[in-house]
Amino acid sequence: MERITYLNKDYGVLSWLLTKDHKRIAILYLASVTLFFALGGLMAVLIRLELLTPAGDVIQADTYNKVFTMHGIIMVFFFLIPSIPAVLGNFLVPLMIGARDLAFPRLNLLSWYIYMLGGVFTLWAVVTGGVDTGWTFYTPYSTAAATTKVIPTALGIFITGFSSILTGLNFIVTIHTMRAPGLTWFRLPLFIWAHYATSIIMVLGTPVIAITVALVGLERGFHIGIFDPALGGDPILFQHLFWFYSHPAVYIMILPSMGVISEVICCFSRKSVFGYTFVAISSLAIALLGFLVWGHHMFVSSQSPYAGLIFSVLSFAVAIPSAVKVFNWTATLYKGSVSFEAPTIYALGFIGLFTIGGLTGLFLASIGLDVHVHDTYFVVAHFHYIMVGGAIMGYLGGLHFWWPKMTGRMYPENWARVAALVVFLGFNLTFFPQFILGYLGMPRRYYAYPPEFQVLNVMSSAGASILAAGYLLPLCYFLWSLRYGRVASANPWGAIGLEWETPSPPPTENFDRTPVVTREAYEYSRPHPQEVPVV
Amino acid sequence: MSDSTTALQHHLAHQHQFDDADQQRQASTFGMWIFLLTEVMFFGGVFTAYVLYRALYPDAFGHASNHLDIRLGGFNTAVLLTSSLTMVLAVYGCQVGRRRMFKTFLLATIGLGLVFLAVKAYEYAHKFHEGLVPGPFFNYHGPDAPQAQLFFSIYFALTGIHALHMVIGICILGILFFNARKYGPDYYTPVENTGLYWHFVDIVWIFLFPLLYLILRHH
Amino acid sequence: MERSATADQHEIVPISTYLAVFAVLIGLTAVTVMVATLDLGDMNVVVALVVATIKAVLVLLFFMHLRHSGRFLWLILGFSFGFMALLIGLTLSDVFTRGYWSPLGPNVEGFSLSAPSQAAPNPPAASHTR
Repeated sequence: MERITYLNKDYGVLSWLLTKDHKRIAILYLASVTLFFALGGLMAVLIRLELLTPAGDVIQADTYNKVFTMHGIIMVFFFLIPSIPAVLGNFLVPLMIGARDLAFPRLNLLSWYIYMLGGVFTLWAVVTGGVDTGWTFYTPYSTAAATTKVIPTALGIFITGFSSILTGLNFIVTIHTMRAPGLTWFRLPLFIWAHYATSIIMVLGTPVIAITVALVGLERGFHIGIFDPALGGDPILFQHLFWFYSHPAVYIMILPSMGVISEVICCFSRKSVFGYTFVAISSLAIALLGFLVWGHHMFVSSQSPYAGLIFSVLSFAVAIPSAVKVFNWTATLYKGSVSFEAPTIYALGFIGLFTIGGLTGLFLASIGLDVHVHDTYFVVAHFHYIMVGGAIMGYLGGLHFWWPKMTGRMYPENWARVAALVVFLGFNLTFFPQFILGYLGMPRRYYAYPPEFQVLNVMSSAGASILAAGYLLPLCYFLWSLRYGRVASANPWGAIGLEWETPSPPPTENFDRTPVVTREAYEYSRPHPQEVPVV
Repeated sequence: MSDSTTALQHHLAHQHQFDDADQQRQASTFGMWIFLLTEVMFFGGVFTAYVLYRALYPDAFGHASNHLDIRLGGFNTAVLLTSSLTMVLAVYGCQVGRRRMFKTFLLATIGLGLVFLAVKAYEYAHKFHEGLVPGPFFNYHGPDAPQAQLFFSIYFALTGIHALHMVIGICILGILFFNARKYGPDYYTPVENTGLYWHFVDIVWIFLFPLLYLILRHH
Repeated sequence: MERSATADQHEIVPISTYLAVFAVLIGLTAVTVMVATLDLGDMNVVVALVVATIKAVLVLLFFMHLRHSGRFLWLILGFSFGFMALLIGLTLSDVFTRGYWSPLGPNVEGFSLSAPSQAAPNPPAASHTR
């Protein structure tokens, strides 16, 4: 008789659309974010196609503005921000702390519906003409001059923001009140610490972007003047309000990924993490310091140089906890028993690429240098190294690592290793030339460029096609594995964590009996019955 | 939760993800406080605009503020403070099992909330007649008209969002009233948490009143 | 398990306490209005905010039962106002230091730094060094 899991407990569309099970909601999110990723990726394809030649010959300039705007909005708000928290976080947070579900399961489902509703508004805006303001909606263009679908898009973002807020609220309350007996704060998996810190940002920052886009809508609709210089308003006020959220938002996008990396590195070097406390606290430090640096996006906006100095110094400070993590992961690998499964390849790629992205962030934090490379491809390369080379690789690594837990199937390991390498190579070929392009002066958000930049642009577009292939491979073999993949045991990796002490896939209630925790977080050195990989 | 469930059964029952009713109560109260935290940040964006522009244009803001009716503003402040009292008395009634007291004070809170909104509606209509609504019909007779329009934009944004929160609060109170028999000394968490929300909305107004109505009342 | 976070909600506050707090709140409202009619210059807004804060604290402590709640809720409260202060403070630190290094001087068109306390000292013309 087939074992009852969360997947086969109920059948029918309604049992999925009205589920309160955090694991099913995670799968709903998985499907949605994948769709949005495909849409955002399509926009990227158009961008790279246009940039193959110096002249603007594939699409018109106005269309290009819409394409890069929609690429940014979809990728940031509808893919990167939800991806790991809403998919892996939703699935794993209760499992990792020994709980039966999140604190507020119905709120969790509502979160997904709100996300979809916001997505519908934004998609409607795309389909009926798009937005061309850049994902940053800078005033006064967005409020006074743009003739595109600013208000519907702003509404879509406003609505989706609440999805983020509710997820963060759910995680914070769950982690505080529902940990299993014996699971003290400093025995928590670092994945949990990362999601806790992320949730703090979600809860503190997202309301501000909500009110900011609402004000943009009001200004655009009623000309109230808050951002209009002719009426005494200050367009830079918009930038302050916008970046107050949007800078911490980038930490929403990277912190969960860092949590994944901690789990993967420990498991595949069969070692406890080096400096657990430092890594845990560094997540909180990133979350809190991340709120102090938003002005580094505004060095050339006519922001006061005094304020710029403050933001510059603080931006250097926020690099420190990230560096702590990179050092500690490296020290964890040192003298570990490292094996190169697909998650490991993604994790190692993350460490290298995130380091490059982070260091170039320091370049940008230096005001003098930023004046030269602001709004060039240097910035574009910087944030793609973090968002794609960092966040997305962490997401893929996590998907691979926990795929057997989520689906009860193993993915084909050799295909996955190849795909990981293809992603890594494609990524670097796409984005490293952009550092050079930016430094040489190629502006971002331009659909045409001087001919001397063409070689680097062609390299970048070629890399993008390789990257796309690298992303299509997992799509194919993950789907394949659902039917034909090898059946997975409860703990195919021999990893340590409460989520591995329940069957794959888990039953709806997660655990037959609430586990009692007596060990520290990553005691790979102590003999443990499940340490021998059972496949 | 079915209609026939008594408060005692609620005391023993709890949602499946929690270990016991106590954990459920703590989690839901904690959740409400975090939600209120997000609300502070939500209002905070508009407060930022207010602080900035008042500091830049203190005279324009002062003169514009004097177009607001201080008696109505003060009356509404008293109404809202009273509604906080009736709210807390409703929770008290629920806590000690006096259902009639509970329901009466719930109704009183709803009533006072509606009075507040009625006064607000009157104020808004009056502003429209005076040509003080920002936008195409703005017609301000006084110096620094553009900056005065900024004041009124912020006034309508802040009080409008506040009023929206009141409407939502009143709806929730109405739902509590109709489900009153579900709540009692052993299970009153939703009532308590609605109270927290209501008091928060009151606190926002406690700040809005002096900041919007009392900028330049000395001559 | 974080039992202390939201601590004892079962504490029942007597009605007399509620009524006393209410009376104080109404009294402080009257004070706010009366003080507003006096000319205290810059202190007007300070007094108004201080009184409003006292009222808010009374509502938090007594009506919202923060007096009987665990310390973690105080932390959440601190975070709320701390982060709002951060948003407002750092934004103002930009706007009010713009005049100093701008070659256009403190009275850039579109911004009237009209209140005397906000007027930046005129930067010295040719000898202005960074």
